[in-house]
Amino acid sequence: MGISLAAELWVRTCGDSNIPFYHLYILVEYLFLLKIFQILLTHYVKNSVWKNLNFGFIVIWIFNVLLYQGWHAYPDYIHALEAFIILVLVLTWFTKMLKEKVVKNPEKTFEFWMCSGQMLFFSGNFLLFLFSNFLLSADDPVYMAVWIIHLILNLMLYSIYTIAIIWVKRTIK
Amino acid sequence: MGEENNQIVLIFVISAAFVVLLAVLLILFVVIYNKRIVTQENRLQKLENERQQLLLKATIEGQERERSRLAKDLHDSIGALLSGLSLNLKFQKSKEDTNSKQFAFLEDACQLVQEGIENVRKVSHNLLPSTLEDFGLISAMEESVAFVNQYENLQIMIKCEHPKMALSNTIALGLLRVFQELIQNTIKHAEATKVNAIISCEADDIVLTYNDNGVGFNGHLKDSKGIGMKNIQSRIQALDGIFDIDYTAPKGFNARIKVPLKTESIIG
Repeated sequence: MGISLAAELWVRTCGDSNIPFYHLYILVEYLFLLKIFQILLTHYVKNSVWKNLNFGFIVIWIFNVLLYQGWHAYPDYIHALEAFIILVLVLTWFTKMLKEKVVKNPEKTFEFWMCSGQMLFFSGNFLLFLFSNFLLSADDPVYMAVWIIHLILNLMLYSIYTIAIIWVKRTIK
Repeated sequence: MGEENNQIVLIFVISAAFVVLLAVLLILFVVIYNKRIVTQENRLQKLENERQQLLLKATIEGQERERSRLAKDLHDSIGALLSGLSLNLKFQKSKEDTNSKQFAFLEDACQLVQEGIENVRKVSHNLLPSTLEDFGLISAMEESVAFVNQYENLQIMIKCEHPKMALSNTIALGLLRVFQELIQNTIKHAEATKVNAIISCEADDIVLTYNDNGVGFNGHLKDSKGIGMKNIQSRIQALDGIFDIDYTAPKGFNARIKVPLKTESIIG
């Protein structure tokens, strides 16, 4: 939220591209989601894996920003990598749920909705993230169509997050 | 960007939609499959619990049968033998001069045999409490603590809120054994001076509330590394009951045993 606001202010005041903020957004989003999955998959995934996922991604991100694509290029590979890692973690959580055989009604849990939202969002956007630099060069109608799909997936993600939050409240009650 | 590239972009869009559809299907599959395996797991768990319950009941029934056999054997064989011996000694004693050494010796022997008969009777009675069948749970509980009230520095109060309550023999025997175990623990380890046991009814359950003013739960656990407590739990589990201990009490031991009064187990 803060990064989005700063990016918007940046465009309005400086009139310059706010892509650098997008790089930052991806890093913060990734680290936040990774922390959530670390909590969800406690005792199921080794600590060293989380350390590698944290430091590995940060190193690749720094390399991409400073040496490879730079601050002003669209971070397509980094975003696709983030999507891939999150998808693997979502599948790990689903596997854990099936192995544990404890939750009878997963649709009544926060974790299930959060993972489902991310699964739909990142799987749908994976190709768009991976080839976004190519898609940016498309004709306007096609470009719009692509980003409308992205928008729909975004709406879907946040609607599913809302359901997840409702279930958190019900569980607490 | 040419027409060809636009087609490629369109393929991307279609691919994205297809991947989303696959993800939806995968999530649906996970939910349905999970429900199925969890239901199956619960069913298996339930069957296993039922099997364990049956096994426990059978073990306890076997123990009671064995106790009953031992009690009858003691009473019929050793009891009868000692009674015969006592009669013989008394007959022999009657023939002797009251001032003779033989008379004094026979007098002592008679006394010892009498003590033996009394001990056999007590052991046999503990193994098979006939009072339970003849006069009910409260009388059996009172009888089992009669010696404590006489000799120990411990006051035991037994109260029944529903004196006309009819219980099946299994439940009554189970509750009596649990009560005896708790009393034993209190005497051995709790250092208590007062015990209260209340039998009451709650809807379709019979409740035994037990409390003493001793050193608390840890004292009761000292009994052979908690074997007494495990026995109590097994007996209550075999009766489908619940055993609650109040761990928050600052002093004393407070337990509550709740056993369902099943319709088929109620005697008239």
